[in-house]
Amino acid sequence: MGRRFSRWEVAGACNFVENGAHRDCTIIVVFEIMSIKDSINALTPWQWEVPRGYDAAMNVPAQIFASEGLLDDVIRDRSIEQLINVAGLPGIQRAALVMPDVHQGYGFPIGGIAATAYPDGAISPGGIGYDINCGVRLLKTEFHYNDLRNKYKQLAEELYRQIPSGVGKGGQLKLSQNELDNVLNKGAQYMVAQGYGTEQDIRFTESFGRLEWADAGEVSEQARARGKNQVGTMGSGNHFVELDRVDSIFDSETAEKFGLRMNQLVVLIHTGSRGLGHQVATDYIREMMSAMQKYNINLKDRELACVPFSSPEGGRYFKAMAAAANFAWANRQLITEGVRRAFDNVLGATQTGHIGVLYDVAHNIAKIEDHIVDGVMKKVIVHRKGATRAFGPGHPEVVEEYRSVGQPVLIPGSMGTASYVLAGTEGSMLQTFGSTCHGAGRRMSRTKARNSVEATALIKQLGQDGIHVQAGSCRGVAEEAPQAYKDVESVVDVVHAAGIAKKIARLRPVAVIKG
Amino acid sequence: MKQFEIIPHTADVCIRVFADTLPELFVNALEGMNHIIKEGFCADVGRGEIVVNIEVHAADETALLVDFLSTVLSTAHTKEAVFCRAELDELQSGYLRGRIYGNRTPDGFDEDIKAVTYHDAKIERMPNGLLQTRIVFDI
Repeated sequence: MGRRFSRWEVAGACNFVENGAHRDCTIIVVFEIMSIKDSINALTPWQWEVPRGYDAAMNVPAQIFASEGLLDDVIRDRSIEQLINVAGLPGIQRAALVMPDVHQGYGFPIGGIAATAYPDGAISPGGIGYDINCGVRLLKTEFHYNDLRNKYKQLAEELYRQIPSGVGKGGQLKLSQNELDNVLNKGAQYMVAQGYGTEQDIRFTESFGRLEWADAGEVSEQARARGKNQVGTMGSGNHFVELDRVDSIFDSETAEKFGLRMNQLVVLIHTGSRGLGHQVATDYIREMMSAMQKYNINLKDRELACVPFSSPEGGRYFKAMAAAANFAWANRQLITEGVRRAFDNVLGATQTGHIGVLYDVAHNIAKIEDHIVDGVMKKVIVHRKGATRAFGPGHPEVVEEYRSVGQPVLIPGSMGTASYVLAGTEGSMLQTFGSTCHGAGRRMSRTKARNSVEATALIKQLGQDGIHVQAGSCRGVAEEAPQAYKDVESVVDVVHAAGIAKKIARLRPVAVIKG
Repeated sequence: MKQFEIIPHTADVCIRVFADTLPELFVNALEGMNHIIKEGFCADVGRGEIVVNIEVHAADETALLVDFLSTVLSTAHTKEAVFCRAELDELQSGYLRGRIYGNRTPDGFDEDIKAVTYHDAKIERMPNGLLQTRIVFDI
């Protein structure tokens, strides 16, 4: 790539194990790369481009949605290098894109979108991620947050009891092979049919909680073994259930359509397909790495492993991915029932009122969609890895109740800051294949967060700020500290200014439940 | 000689592994992964109460290492155990066969490794004669 290094400096420390003993490391060196920034052109104050000619392997330009301040963050890690590699995917259309919450991943950066031509363009599991259909669901209650001010600790403790969390933890539902097949093939719709929730829950879920082309037969035994006891569980890391209050409304007309009002108590759920999805991705990345040579595909990073969508391997992966996505929607549906049970147990069933789904979105997924490319409507395979669908007003896939205002977009912030409800726009359809950001994006390694944040002090500080934290692990709390993440407000302001999603409401946490 | 070191990585965890020989590299990488999964667990366990036979095929030795760790990780999740020891009966560029020994962990893992990635992984012989590679784990 012809990178030129302008300077280096010593920063940080590390440790290693030698003959069973822990030892401190020597030096960590950081390079400032000048040539990439020199090659980035500003298209607008919010949209930047690395032209196609920057690297011979690029088939399209690479575009970054960011403010100038956030762009410096983006350049600091390997996100742009990875985005440039994505721009070399076979059949990629218009541009490889990243959002302002981007950070480096493996193969694809996290916070990116790549659309490839249907049916022969590439499909790449790395463009979806290991946690297939990691996503967010927002529930609305009938409560003003003051109504339950004295109950948040109790509610948090009961939510922690009702929704299993933590590394590798299993749930209360143990599925037979036949039941697992139904979950994989029918997703949230199967859970509702079994009595876990209502038809209204599905109506306000992306793709109605089920990708119909899923095929449980394409999911390996190992993936099944990892996932069969995990439906209805939160997991760990950055997954959570959160009680929030609506503390700002930016667009009252749309907020009313969404059923949101000031100081309303809402519940945010963030989780995905658990071990099943992770294993599906692992299985198919391995398979595609072997198959790529057959299709004369050579790429710079193994994690970009891909095959033509129309190939047997591509077809199998798409069906398995859909099955894992269905598992994630079933998971969030069961967790929704856990939330309802927790409220009933603490408040009494006659006092809970209606807890309904505002919307449920995926931010790691691939879909076949129609988008305009070079002035022509085309079918493309849209890969979203740490990016959220954001269809604008009038789109037929937006449920009728929201069609006049656009699809709800749910953006979780870090613990202790804010989350946002946005709406999809026509701008996202034109600029980003109907997509926008997914969250705040990490800026600090987990190791550094653990070493620099004292979890007990953080929990105490959050408590003083009116946020009760119910967590299974101090390590997890430290790793997810607010300072480990970018400022979500900056991220959301960029997508709003760029016209690829519209701010509707802001949510502030009152209780955070984590694994 | 150091066996592995933790490298800063924004969203995930990365280790750099060192060894004199290829089998040692595999064993040291396993130790590095277990350090992340449950730090200190492998220091005090004996031979291992659970034994699992493993066989892995891959395109080259780097992919084989990643696939070996993936196999152990996946088995760790399904058995709810940490596999501290590996005996490799056969280890070639694209194939290995052997056994892993583990112990159950009733109180779970410290970190949820979603997957072992191929990103930045490349087994190389360094000028000092050591074999080395990075391994990035998706957390």
